[in-house]
Amino acid sequence: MDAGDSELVLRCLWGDRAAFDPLYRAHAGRVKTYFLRCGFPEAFADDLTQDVFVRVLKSLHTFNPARGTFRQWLAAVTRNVARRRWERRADPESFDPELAEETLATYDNPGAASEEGERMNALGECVRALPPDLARLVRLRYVEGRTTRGIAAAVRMAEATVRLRLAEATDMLRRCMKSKGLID
Amino acid sequence: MNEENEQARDPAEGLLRRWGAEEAARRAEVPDPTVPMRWIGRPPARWRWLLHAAALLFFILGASLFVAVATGWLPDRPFGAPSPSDDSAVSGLRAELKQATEDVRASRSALEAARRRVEEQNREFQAEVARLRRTFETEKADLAAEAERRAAALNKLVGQEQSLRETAVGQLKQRDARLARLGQDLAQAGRSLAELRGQVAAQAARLQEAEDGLVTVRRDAEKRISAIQAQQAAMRTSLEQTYLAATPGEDALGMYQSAVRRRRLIVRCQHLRAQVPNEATRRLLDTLEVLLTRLELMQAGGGDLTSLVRLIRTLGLTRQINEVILTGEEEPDVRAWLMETQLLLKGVERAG
Repeated sequence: MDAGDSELVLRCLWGDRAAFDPLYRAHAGRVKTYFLRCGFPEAFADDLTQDVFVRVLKSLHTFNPARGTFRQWLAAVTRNVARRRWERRADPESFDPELAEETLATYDNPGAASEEGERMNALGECVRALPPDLARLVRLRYVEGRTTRGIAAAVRMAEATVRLRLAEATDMLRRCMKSKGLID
Repeated sequence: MNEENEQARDPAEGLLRRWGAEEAARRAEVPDPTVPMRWIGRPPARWRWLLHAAALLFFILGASLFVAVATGWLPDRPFGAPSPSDDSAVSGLRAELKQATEDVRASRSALEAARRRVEEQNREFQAEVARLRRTFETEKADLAAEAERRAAALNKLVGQEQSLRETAVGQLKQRDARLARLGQDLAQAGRSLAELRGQVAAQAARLQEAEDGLVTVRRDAEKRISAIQAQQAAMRTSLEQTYLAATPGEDALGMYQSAVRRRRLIVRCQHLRAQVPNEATRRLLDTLEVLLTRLELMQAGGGDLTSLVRLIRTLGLTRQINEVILTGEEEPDVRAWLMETQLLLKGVERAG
């Protein structure tokens, strides 16, 4: 995948317009997810995503493959853009910055291998097997990257209740993961 | 935050975080790209002169417009624009007032909605607190019961361990005592073995000495036996010449009667009889004395010799004499007398 990125970058540098679209499609989703998990509103996250790729393409000639992969370079650009607009976040207390950073960390070490993909699919089955209310809490926590306070505000529950329900859901998921051999 | 860091070290938590990131990236709706690709690289050379011409044209037009306005050739206001008046100002203020009134009304309704939401959340909070208290009490009771059960199990295990330990200590002491006894027995057996080895060596030495003595005794005995056998052989030869050399007939009878008298067999028998302890031997001596007396009284030319020979053979006297001699229990004088008598009887049998 990284070799594909390098090829697309090279084609962009040579003026190949068709190479930009797959590069954008491959990475824009994760960049937007990072902004959403940082607490930016969705419309603004779209603008920031566009901004990131404008910057990427403007400074594409400064990318040095010897200093890291394209994905790591893109992650650095994304963090810089977010830092410049940090005060524009709508509700910072509702989103967990560690989980936001997890998006780019995972991005540095993508689960592209087939084994990792199978593990993710199995875990998705476990989440889908949860009761709907617990599955919603799990998605708010781990997919949207919300804090306990953010989840409580979204579902109109007390934070203590959210913690208890999340602990219950995590226990159920841990049992499911053990049964599927995902963890020891 | 510390709690969340603790969770991050949990493998399940890490897996969930990775899954969430992947799921979010997969589900993100990406806007269409708006980046103009002409920003990338340089425009083709055949269009570069056109860009330069367009820039020059825009510059000329801008400069002309500035000069026209500055020289009054063009008005400084757009053509046909109405000038402001008092009516328009009042109508504008009214519109602003109306807008402000609507904003205040909207704010009030929003405030009311927020108050209702706060009250509703307060009720939910109270209900949640009550539920949490019940859960806490239940958990507390369960934990107390579990603690009591585990304490009882622990006490039971401690008791079992103490019993097992005492049993093991007792068995250990018994084994130590048994080992000590076995050690003493082993030492005693070692000492006994040494003593036995000494005794065996002494016995072997004594046996060797006895064997050496026996060898000497046997050699002496063999020498004596050889001497006795030689003496007996000489005696037997002499006696056979005395008692068996005669020819059958009356001369033989006279010779045997003479031999009885010359050897004083009857007189010696009477003396020897007192020395014989064995009753059967004494009876044999009595029979032989009678037989010798009858031989001495026998007349020459009579027919008694034949009946005497028959009597000797019927009684098996030579055989009985042989048996007494071979037992070796009698005195040498007795054995010598018996041997002489046997030879005499054999001569009588031959003469008869």
